[in-house]
Amino acid sequence: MPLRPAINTIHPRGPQPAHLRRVSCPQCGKSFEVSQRAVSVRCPACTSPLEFNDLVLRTRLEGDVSTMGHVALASPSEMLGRLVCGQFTNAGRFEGRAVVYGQVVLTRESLTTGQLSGRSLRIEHGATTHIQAEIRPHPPARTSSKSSAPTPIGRLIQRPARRLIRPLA
Amino acid sequence: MSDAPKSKTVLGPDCRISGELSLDNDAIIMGQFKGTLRVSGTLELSESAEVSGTIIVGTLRLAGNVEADVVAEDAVELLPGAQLIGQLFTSRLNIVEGATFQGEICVGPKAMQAASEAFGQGEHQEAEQTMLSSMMSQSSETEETHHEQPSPVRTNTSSVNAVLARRRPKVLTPRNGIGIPS
Repeated sequence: MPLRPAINTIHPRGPQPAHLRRVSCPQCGKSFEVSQRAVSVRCPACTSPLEFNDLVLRTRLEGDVSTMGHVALASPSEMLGRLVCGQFTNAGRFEGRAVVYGQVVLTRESLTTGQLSGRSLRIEHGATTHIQAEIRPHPPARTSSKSSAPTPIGRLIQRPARRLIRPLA
Repeated sequence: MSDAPKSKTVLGPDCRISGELSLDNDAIIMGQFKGTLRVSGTLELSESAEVSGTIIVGTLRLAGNVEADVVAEDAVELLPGAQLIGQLFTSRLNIVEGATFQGEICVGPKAMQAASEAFGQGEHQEAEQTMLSSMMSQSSETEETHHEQPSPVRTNTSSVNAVLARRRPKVLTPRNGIGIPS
């Protein structure tokens, strides 16, 4: 019976992940890369657990969403509430407060109002945006929680939303 | 047939200007500016640039520090290391990783309208009229008393033209019956 070749003979350095995602830990601010296919990971600096749920919203959502993955609002979709995510792409309508630990893209059909903090921001020609924004290379690290045990961050949460901001005139 | 090369105004890193500056072409600013800055073309603010006040441009490429309200008809790009604090009105915006922005962003078809409402066109015109009258009084005083300290430099072509246009009839007016016939 022929022996199966060791994986190191096929991949001298081991299999490399095809796509990487850059992550900033919300607890300590450490920036690191993980595989695009990773579902969860622990921060190499502070060992906080992070979960990645990539979402595409195609309908109306009124509530809070928290994940370290990529959240995309498709063209007819609408979201009202608070959003915490790793990356955010808006092609629909967003109203509320968004805390993004990566890139924010507001496409030409999007309508965005409220508050936004992120690492980088691109607003395409044709987008309608009226926001209070804070863009900085290093997102503010969260203060340490009272309990010593790390709390899971990035779990997908949906709560009823409050209207945070006034609508556009 | 090639088009004539577009001129570009460059203010070096040693340059410090306060007041109002209007340019009808592209510009690069490397020094410090405080006041109202109007550039019809593309304005590039280098890493050493420090600007505060109000910026009204076609396109803004920023790598320096700005604490101002910005109105850009076409686009704004914040390069790595750039810092912008203030209100921003434009139709296209790109803040790359490494840049810092803090303030209000208004983007869209009604952004320019919102900008004019926010800055108050009427108030601005009044302020310009006040500035013109103050310049007029300063110039007449300078003619009479010859101040030792020169007045701060104001480089605003439109305002200067307006002042000259107002001064011409005054100069040509006959004094004590003796004047230059027009």
